[in-house]
Amino acid sequence: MKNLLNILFNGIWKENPVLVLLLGTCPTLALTTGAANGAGMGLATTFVLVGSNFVISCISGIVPRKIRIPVYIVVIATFVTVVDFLLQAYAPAALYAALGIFIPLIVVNCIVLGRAEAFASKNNPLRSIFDGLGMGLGFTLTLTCLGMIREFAGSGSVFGVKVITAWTTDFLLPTSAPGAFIIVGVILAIRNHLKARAALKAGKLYVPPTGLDCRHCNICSLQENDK
Amino acid sequence: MKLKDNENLVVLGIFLGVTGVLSALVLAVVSTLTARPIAEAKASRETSALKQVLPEFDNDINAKVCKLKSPAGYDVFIRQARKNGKVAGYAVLLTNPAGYAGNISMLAGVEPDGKIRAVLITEQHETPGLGAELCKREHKKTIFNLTESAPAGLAPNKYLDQYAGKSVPAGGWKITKDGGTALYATGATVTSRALAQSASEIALTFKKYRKKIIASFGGAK
Repeated sequence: MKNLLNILFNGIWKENPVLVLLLGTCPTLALTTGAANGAGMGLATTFVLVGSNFVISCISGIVPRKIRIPVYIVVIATFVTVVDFLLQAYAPAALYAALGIFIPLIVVNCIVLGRAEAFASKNNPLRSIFDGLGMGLGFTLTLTCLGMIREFAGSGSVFGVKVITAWTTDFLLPTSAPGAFIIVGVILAIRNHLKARAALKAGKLYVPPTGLDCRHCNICSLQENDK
Repeated sequence: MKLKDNENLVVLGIFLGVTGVLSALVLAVVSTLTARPIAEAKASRETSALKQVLPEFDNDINAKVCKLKSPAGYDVFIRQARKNGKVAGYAVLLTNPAGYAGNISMLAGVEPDGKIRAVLITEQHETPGLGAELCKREHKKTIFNLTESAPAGLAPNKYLDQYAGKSVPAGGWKITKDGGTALYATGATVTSRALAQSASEIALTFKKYRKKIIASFGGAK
């Protein structure tokens, strides 16, 4: 049980998909203009992640190694289409209007395929579900926080509620794409600074956790083995 | 040999094919299950827009749609609303491609006498914070009125409300920057122009084709 909780919190903070793995930057930048949009996109991605992680860890034993990527993509695309149908049918009109065109893009969200390849294909279904949940919640929380920061800096409101009523004219930079890059960059810098300072205090050199660079992916090494 | 290490092209092809068929089956089931709710959600979105711009009506408003070309050549879709058999008004939809970022669809409720009653933007892709603000109708929520429910009816928007209840000048409304009378927003001139043009085209179409429109819905009763 402790192990499972570790996997969960791993995704939420230690290996946060946006702030540490730097995956899924497209929805992160495009959809966090408001806190509600960020939360909606995060939850949709979480559903896809949990589902695809579960199915992929179940079938990873029989999928031929050579065609595993196309098979994983088909699984992911199926889940995304299901989410799209469900949102069209049951989501509030305003939420679907904001997220609608980005839902199909979850298929190519690196987090989903990345976790399928790096985690789900090597772990049992239960652990994979927890990994999907952790990564999804990490993604959701980060997107919601980012959305809150951008929404507040842009118009003085949070979740569509004006907090500073005297603020009448919107400030466009934080809610536009360049502003998103700047804000994400500042957050990353702060996080790295804190990590590096903590490491320095402990008398160590800051090294990113293993598995967070490209070495965890074995596409390249497979080709070398083929030779 | 285990399936996992199989490299036979035929086996790989069959495996991919089976995966595809399975996923298609899942999607077919979900699609059938959600087809009705999706259609209902879409219809309720459209009807709620119609209800916002029109006075109360009780006929099947989508039963007949009259399609016309506006004086400037835009497609105009007209629906007639009736209450107890009497004409209550018309809902007119015009999509103007002259927005800053593509199409702006304007839905206007028009009185039987041809004056615009209320204007609503049903589709737009304008710059958030600038052009988009001109097209939005929403009751602003603040921390001071968080617990109150929003007032009924359309939220005010001075850029859209200015076309309501006025008779249209001969050449249509123009924004003040172009020598007209319509209000425009600095930084969103293109959007303002498109809105003025859409409203004008709707009003002018009614001015020009009023008899034709009434006749196409079976005369004025």
